[in-house]
Amino acid sequence: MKWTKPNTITGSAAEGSKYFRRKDIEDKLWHEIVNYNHVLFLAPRRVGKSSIVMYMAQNNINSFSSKYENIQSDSSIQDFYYRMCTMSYDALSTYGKTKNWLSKWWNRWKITSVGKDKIDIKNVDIDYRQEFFDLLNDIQQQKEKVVLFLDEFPDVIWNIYNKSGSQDAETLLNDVRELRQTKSFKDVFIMVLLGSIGLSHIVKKISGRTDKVNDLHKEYLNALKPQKAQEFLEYLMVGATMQIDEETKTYILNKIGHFIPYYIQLIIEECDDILYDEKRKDLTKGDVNKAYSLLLKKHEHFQDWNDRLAKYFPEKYDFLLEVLSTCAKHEYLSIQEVFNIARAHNNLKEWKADVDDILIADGYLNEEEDKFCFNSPLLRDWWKSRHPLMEKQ
Amino acid sequence: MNVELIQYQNAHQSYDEVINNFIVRQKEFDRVMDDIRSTQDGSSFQHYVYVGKRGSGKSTLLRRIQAEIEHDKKLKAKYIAVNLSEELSGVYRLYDLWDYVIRDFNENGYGIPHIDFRLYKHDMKAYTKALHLQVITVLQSHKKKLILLVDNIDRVLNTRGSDDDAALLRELLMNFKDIRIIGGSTVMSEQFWKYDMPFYEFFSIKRLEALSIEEVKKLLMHWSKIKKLPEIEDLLTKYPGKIQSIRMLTDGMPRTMLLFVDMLINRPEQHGYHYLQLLVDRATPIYQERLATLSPAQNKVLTELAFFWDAASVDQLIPRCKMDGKTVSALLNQLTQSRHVEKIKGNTKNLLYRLEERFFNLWFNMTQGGPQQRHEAKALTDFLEQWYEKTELNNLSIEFSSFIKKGEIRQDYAESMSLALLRSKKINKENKQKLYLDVKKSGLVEANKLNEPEQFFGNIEEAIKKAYDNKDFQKAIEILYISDIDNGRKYFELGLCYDNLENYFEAEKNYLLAVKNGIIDAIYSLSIIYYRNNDKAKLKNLINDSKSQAIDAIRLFSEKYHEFAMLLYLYLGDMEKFQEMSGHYLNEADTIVSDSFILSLLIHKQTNWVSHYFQTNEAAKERYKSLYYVTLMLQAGQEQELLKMPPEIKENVEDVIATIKEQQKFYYG
Repeated sequence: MKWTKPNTITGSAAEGSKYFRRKDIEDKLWHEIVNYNHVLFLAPRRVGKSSIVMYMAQNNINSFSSKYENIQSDSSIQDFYYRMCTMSYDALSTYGKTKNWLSKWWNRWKITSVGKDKIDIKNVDIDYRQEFFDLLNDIQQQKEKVVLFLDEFPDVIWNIYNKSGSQDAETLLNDVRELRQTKSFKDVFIMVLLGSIGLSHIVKKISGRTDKVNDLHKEYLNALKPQKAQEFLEYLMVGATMQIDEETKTYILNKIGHFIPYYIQLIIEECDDILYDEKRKDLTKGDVNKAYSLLLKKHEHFQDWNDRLAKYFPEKYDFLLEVLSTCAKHEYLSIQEVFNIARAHNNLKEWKADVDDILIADGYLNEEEDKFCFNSPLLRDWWKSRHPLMEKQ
Repeated sequence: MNVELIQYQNAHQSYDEVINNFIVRQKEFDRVMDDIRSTQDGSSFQHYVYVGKRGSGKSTLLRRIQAEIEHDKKLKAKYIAVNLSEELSGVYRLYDLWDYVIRDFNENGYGIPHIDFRLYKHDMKAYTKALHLQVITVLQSHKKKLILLVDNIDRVLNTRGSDDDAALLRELLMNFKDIRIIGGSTVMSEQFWKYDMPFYEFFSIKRLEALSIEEVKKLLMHWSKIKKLPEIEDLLTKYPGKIQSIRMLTDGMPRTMLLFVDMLINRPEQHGYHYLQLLVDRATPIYQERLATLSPAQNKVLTELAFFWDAASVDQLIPRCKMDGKTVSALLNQLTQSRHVEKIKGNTKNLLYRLEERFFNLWFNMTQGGPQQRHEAKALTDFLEQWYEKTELNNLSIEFSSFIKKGEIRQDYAESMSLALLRSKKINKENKQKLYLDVKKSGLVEANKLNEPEQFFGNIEEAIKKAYDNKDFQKAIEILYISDIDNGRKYFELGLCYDNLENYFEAEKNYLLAVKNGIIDAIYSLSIIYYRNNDKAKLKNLINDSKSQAIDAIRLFSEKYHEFAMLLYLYLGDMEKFQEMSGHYLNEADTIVSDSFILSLLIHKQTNWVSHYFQTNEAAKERYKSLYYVTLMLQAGQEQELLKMPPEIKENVEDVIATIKEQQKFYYG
């Protein structure tokens, strides 16, 4: 029996036929870009940011040359601006209107060359920061527009801070502010900065304040709405051998509760595996339950999520635990409820920072419309069984 | 069967052989190949990591994927497969990984120029990227994608002390869609699941679980076929239980499992401990390799845990490991992640831990134990009980007993195996008693290591009596040897048993020892032997022993066995003594002596004494009528009186006379 698996992708970012368009988000981002606003695009890991901007970079709006890269290994100002130069070059050489000036500019770098059988050696004598600002002037003169999607940008700030110190990190943050506040740059060059860890959280650690990034336009990537989740599920199942009736689809989504594509795909893959083994096509609710239990079993490291809080935040542990346990029990937790818990723990000063800097920054919870919920339904259900709350009388 | 071929098959097999010999993990293979085949250009694809213990088939699976890509024209046109399993020890940093890929490419004629790393000595990250770019350039110019097969990928990701390489690798994999990684890992590295690690939930993790019994059978059938060894197939029909045992002991890991099968086929003549010893020896390279990957601290915890055999708690391990609880817990967690150890949730809050693969634990106990036989025995018992059916195990016990008896076994073997068998609940009481007796008697195992005999025999005295009553003198002897009853009595009873078994040599030996230990009854029994054997010299020696304690003993003996003592003196010709002892014994009218005593007197030609006895003792005459007439017949001039003999006893009288004559001939020639 030839078996076609669902169209899932659970590790890499979704591209090509794997990408389920999030047009609403794309539109929001493009809206900011065309208005020359730099964007900080935030979501916890595995929510699907990269997939969206990869698509955007390859399907850009005409007036923009675009390029996406994950830049998480950059750890110096030189690294970062070298990256800006090469990304801009790539973007412009792919999408730019005229290429001659670009080649000239590129060839000014005497040693560096990219191509077949040639070696790309970053020239340590070149000040790439200066090069990049020079390039921006050229771009402006050529009436080009560039948008760069920089994935894991907060990591870079953090790397620079760790390797070169706070001064370099602050220099870069100031540059980024200058880029978005100086009109001549702003009109030709836009950055969409992606981060799974809060940039302001890092900036605060480095400089003690967050004003350096406060003016960035922030866009959050939320979970799918129920209707979209249903559509996504159908998208995954096109052409697949496994068949899921409407009732079971609803059952799957109810089981997950919070519609992050990654987790929907995980359970679909697990279900597909069960049916593949038994050479059956039709998925039942029993299969879904089995798949979900298997997933919980496979994700055996949830204890570490608990232990980490106890280890690093012993004084706040009781508060954090109650927030998480309450959230796990009710699936969502309003900010008022969190405040209520904070009051009981006499934590009225730092409660919000604790939730933001610990539970959200470390990937436990996500905040959507003043409500908190677990990123991972698996972690949520593990937490629920591990830390059950007493029923109120 | 060629074991080397089984154990280390991958590296030396051609692609065709790899394809033909690939039997298990078929599902994993089919699934990943379906995915590779259905991946569309321009679409993202999944990177995989297969997590399983050493010997679970990871390398074989990776090699099979490689073979498939090389073998399938369509795939080969699209992909280059590079398998770095062999070279991995040379991968220290991420640039080594790309360097090996380049070497592999160049072996296939791609002619990638060499980059001198010294050019990048201030920026090895740039060097890594440069090498990566070389790889990408080749791939793109040849319109190919790379499938990079990396066994032990966790080692690459955990490169020496920083996340930089892991972050860079993730970046490169996200920015360039030319390389798909399919890895193997023995551990569920935290790189794969920790939120702040670069590869958090990046790979699709596929666990290579223990083989199902159906898979095991399939594998064996295949080996039976291709190696032309029908005996493997026989195993499946003859010993289905054994196949299940192998699966349980090896946790279904193909490599160790095949080792067992090889042993079953090639060494059917081996049993029990020798068999196991051979298995353990053969498993040593596999397990040593497994241990080599552990840190000294992990090794310590694993070793101590192994010696528990049963699941143990952190608290139990603390004093053994001499580490604090947090350290032990952390190390156990690492060992759990690497699947050396499994976590067991008990009723209490405390977790228990034990080695996941039981045969590995057993190997540990048998090779790393030193003076740990008790632990070893515990492990061995479990092994034996899983490995052997009840009947087999009992037969093994009997066989082992006989080895012990014959002294055909080394002391260390004897000790481990004896203790293990004696612990087993599957061995019946009788066999266990026998084994215990043989072991105790052999002296191969120190007495204090064996349990108290009562455990096997209940009350020892009753056991001896029971054996004696059942005329199971051999068993009585065995129990006597291990009993702690006082020596005099022990020798005596041993003498009695040998006596009954007509082993007079052993009987005499034990009786004499008993005599030395002041057992009067032994003088009796011994003298009976001498007497019966007509060994006057020995009897004289015994009875006339000049040693004072013997004299006392003889006196006491004579008092207790008056008739027999008299008889002995009579037999020895010590008539003075005979007379002294007889005194008025036979003259008293109301004395009823035994018929055997009368008979013996007649044998020793004391017809007159007997006649006189009968004459003075009417009751005796009436009671031993036959003997009276026998006596008359042996005397001359009793014809008249003989006429009174009732005809019904005549035959009996004649028989007795014949016996007397025969005995007289024996004693007197």
